[in-house]
Amino acid sequence: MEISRALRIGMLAVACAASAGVGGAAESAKGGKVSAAFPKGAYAQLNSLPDWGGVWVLARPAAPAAGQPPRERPVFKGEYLARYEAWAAQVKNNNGVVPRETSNCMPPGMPNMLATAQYPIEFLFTPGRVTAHHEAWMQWRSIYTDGRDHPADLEPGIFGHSVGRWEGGTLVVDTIGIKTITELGAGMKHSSKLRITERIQQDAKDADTLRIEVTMEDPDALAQPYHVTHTFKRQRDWSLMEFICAENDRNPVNEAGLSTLK
Amino acid sequence: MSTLLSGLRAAALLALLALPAAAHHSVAGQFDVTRSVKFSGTVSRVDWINPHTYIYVDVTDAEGKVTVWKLESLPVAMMRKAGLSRQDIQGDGKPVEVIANPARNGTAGLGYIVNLRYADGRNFQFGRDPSDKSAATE
Repeated sequence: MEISRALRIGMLAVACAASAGVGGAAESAKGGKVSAAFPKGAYAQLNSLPDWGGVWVLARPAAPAAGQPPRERPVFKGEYLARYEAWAAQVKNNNGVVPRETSNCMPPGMPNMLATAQYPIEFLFTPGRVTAHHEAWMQWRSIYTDGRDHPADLEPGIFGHSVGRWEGGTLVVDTIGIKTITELGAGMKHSSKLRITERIQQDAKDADTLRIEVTMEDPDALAQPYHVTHTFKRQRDWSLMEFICAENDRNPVNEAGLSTLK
Repeated sequence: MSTLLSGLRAAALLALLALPAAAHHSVAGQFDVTRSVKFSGTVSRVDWINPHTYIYVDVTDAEGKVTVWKLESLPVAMMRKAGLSRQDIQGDGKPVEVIANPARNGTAGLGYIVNLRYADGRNFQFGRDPSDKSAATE
């Protein structure tokens, strides 16, 4: 009896310490500041955010108008240029079939998840945070809008760490800490120093059009910042579907990195 | 279903194929998009899933032997965008004429759907038949 009572007290003490460590369980909107960890009391403020409801489907980029420059291409440098050119040569010499580094079930992560057509995305607003769900590979990412910085001890991931702020109806996002396994585009590798800035906003004249203006900077891989804009069209009444790649991996990649048919 | 509606759907589907995709796999890498195979059968199964819908078509030869063709097609969201439901693809057990790009490595019974024409006249065009030399430029 004595031992179990001590255990119960011990567990309670641990639980209290855990919550006290983040400022106390009973406190909401810590210090008056909205935080993703303390959302209570801040839900009404979400109503002042723009209406990004429904799901958004990537639209085909329009060809540049006559007289306008062609779509921007990234300008690689150093070993990253060499790697890209080697990849392009492989594509040319093998009818477009190039060995893969990862399985076909590996999600693209940042930034290519922004360019994945055919599977819609949706944005969820909660206090201090915007969460984007991408149907493709069921990817999701968190964009923290509660004023926090990137952590000093950031563990890289395929989505990186994103912080954002609202400028009127525009969400401005800064992402770092992206694993080098991801690509900027097909065959385009980046370094661990990649930094991605996004400006996400509805079209001024058409609320059912959303644009994400992406700027990619990489002091090791890119000779200059690389800009891409993705345009999405709203579907109000759709919802996202499952995408369980492992359940439907009909194109397993063999040891040579080549996709096979099952 | 009127042929006009089929025509509208055809246009919508063709437009979808032109979308850029960070491909989880390459259609052209696995299927020979320069060739097509044609056959008739009945739809025995529809996998209405991501990343791609799959349609299984039972083809019976003159001796009564049944081969099951497994055919890949668009993601569900794109079928929906074109106004197609699982029921539309399932058909009703009546014959369907299939045009498909065959597997690049020669694997039998695998293809990527180019066209489906159902016995009731509904025609869904997902791409251009590479063997159709009479296709007008658009």
